[in-house]
Amino acid sequence: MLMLTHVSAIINLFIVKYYSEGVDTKNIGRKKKKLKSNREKQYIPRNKSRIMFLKFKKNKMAIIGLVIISILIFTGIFADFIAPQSYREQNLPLKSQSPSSNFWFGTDEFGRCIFSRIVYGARISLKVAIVSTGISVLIGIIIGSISAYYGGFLDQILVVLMDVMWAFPTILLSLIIVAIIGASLNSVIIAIALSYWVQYARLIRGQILSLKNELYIEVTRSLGANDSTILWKHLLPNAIIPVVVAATLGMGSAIVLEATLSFLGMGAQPPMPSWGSMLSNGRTYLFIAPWSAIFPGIATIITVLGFNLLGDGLRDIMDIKIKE
Amino acid sequence: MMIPVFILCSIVIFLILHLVPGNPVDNLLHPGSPLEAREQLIKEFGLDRPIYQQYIIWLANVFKGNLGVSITEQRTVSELLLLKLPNTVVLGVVSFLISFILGIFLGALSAIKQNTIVDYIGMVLALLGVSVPTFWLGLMLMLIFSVNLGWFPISGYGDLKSLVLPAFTLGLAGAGLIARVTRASMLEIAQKDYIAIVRAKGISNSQVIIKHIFRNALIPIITLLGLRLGWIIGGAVTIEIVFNRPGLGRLLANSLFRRDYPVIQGSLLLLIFAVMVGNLIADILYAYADPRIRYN
Amino acid sequence: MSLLEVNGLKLRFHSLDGPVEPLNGINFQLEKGEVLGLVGETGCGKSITAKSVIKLISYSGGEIINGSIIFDHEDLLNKSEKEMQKIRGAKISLISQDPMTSLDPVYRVGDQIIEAIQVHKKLNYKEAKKKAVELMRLMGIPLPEKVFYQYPHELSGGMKQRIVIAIALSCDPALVIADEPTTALDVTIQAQIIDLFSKLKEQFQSAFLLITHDLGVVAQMCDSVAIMYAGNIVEKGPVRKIFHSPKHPYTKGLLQCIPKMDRKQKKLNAIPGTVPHPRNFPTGCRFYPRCQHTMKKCLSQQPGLFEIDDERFVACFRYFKNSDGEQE
Repeated sequence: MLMLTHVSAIINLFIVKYYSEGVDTKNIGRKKKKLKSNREKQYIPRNKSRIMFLKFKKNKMAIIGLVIISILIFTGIFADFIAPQSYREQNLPLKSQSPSSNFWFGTDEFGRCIFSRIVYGARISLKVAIVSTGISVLIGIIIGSISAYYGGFLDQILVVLMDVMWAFPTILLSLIIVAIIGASLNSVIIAIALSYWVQYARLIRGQILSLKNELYIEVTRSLGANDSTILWKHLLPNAIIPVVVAATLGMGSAIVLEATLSFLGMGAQPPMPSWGSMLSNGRTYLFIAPWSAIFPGIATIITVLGFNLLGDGLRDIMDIKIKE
Repeated sequence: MMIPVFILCSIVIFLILHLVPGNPVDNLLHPGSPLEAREQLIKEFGLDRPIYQQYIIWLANVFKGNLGVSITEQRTVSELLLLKLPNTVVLGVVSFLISFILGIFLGALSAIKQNTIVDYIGMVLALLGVSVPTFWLGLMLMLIFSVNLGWFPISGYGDLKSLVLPAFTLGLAGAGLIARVTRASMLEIAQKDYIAIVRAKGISNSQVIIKHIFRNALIPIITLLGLRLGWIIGGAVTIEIVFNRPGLGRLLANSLFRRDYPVIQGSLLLLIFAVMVGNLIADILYAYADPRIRYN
Repeated sequence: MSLLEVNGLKLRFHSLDGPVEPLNGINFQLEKGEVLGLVGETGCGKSITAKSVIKLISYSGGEIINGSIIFDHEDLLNKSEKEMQKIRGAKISLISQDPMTSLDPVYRVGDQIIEAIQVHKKLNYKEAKKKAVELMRLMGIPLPEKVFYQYPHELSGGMKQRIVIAIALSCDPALVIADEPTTALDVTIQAQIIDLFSKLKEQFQSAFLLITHDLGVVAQMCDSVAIMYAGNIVEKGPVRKIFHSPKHPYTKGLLQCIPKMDRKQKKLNAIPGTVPHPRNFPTGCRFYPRCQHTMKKCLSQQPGLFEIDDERFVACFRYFKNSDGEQE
């Protein structure tokens, strides 16, 4: 089991680290890079924020991710203006129509406009992503800090707990939690939060442990009372960064999980237009009205893609900062 | 060390389910049944005793191999588990192999041809694999290959053809993460000092890649794979539902809906056991792959 | 004809801020069996020179944009990668800086020594193993039969470095490039390794290109030395002569920096200023900002290597003589 802890700790570092696209100035093969050459000028190493901004600009994928998420947020906020119809307005004579100029994405089995439902569904997805990840991060920070700060037996137990939870399939865990609480959108949010906190706890714990080491070394080296707030100011930003990256990617995972749970009937209840429940409905009518399953799916994928791209881009930028 | 963890998990499993509001017995009774009938059923299932007693009895039984009787079906839990297990195992193993082979191939190719079209396409595919909900992928594959093309059956089990779509769905989704990690791992190893020394020996590029870069890159990949077992089991749940395959996943989901405690507890225990075994295997493989770990 | 002749070697690296050229057309020669020391501070470009000679620099993101590397009468820059692979390990080998990271952690050290032998000499496993064990014994590794089967992490730094050296010598190369072979080791181990090098130099008759920042090592081992500064070679010549009477201001400064054990010294000498960043190379002579003896010329023109004596070259305008033999 000691090995498991060891292995899991390595995995934790690797999974966050290895989502990265890798260093792109060095090669296995021998590609020659073609870049514009700058004019000769005095080289002053740029400050960190400028490096980050430059890198972000060059990273087209991250920009795309940011754009997608912005569209999502925009859609969520202004859903009332974007959606041509209400998400619950039923129009039975027009049910299960294929996409047309009246109904861009077609209608579902109750005659509701799928496009409108998807637009309103953006709100639900956003809510799920932000709230569940927020709670997750909070739990993770609390437990991670306690574990790292107090150390000892408490730390050992918590680490074992984290290892077991990490290895346990998240779908099943959240399924169980929702089954206990009762199916609804809020219970899904809670279930997701309770399933995903482990990665943040480990990150924070790791950061605090290394901070403990550095603090200790600094204090023993210093000749006078060293202001620990300075250290906190220096090290805390470094500690937050991997959490920000993980949280961005985590929001994508949260949306996927919500979709899965709703698909299993455990999530948002009708008539709420959660994309996952739309998929669940769509499944029944898959063969006669496939669009009711295709479009919510695409919406979900694009959204999750957006979060993933953004998270990847953030990590690429942050890598420079960490390396310095 | 595994045993205390196992016991801890069993306690948690047992407790959680008993915190759920609602008594399983109520599912079996017709509404409006007399109270005595309810009392009798409660007594029969031992649900009237104090919790810790119930737990001890249950745990003792578990170690004897008696996992109880399903409340909703007239079979022992062990029977049910043994019946459904093989299907899930087959699905799990095949999809694991698919994701492993596809993922490593894609990741290695992307790494070797870094920053070329091959790399970009590969990583886009991998990214999609990570972003797509597994069940949606299953639905779409079903739509294309079963409904429109008619190559594979929509549901069912038992033969190879019915295994293809479910296994590929799970396999493709899993390949994404493996591809990304493989690529990143190989790129990182390629920077290492010892790779330069190996090249300085005058070894051909393909040998350098296969014998040294890939071999070292495998180490973190293996540890990742070990933990994927849990993911595969979770994925099997939804896939079994989408494709109507009987298996452990569907059994668990159904028993959750029906509040069939013994079955829920039995399946969860089995799952935790499987996850632990998987981790153990991963640890062993990891020690095999990395000599530095072996002698600790 | 020299064994190795490097002419006008220029490199280019690409980065976020654009390309940078850390090497400025360097020239040096190496004869058969000669030990040439390449000396300079960190960042002057010695290591990338080492990697460039066997064309491994492209794997680190560098590009050779000018020059020629003539080894054994052939220009290596004209050779394909496959042809280079035949040369690497067999005719020219490399010893790298940090022994802790120079060996592949997943293979046994014996197998790593054998790898080159099997590729270049086409021996079978048994014969190759015999050779490897002999080599290890020569390196002063105790119980080589046992060590053969060990993994790198089981060995100490000194032992690892001996293995790396064994790998480098396994195919009897004509030239061994040693990139700071002692820098990462403890002082006592350093001494051992240097003794080993001296012994090997006699036994194997290979030429050595010894890259280091340690003048003591140069004094002990090298026949001739080339001093590098900011991507240029500023002085070249036989070791004795240069140590005895350094000409270039930088060389003088370096030698003065060595603390003298037999004299009282109040302060340690240092060369004022710092090595310029490759993007900030001054126009004209690159040592100009730190030099105590500058002339007007130094600000605007770069001095090339000028032969002032039999075998001695200096890149400094103070020693330039025009075609009439007069100093300018």
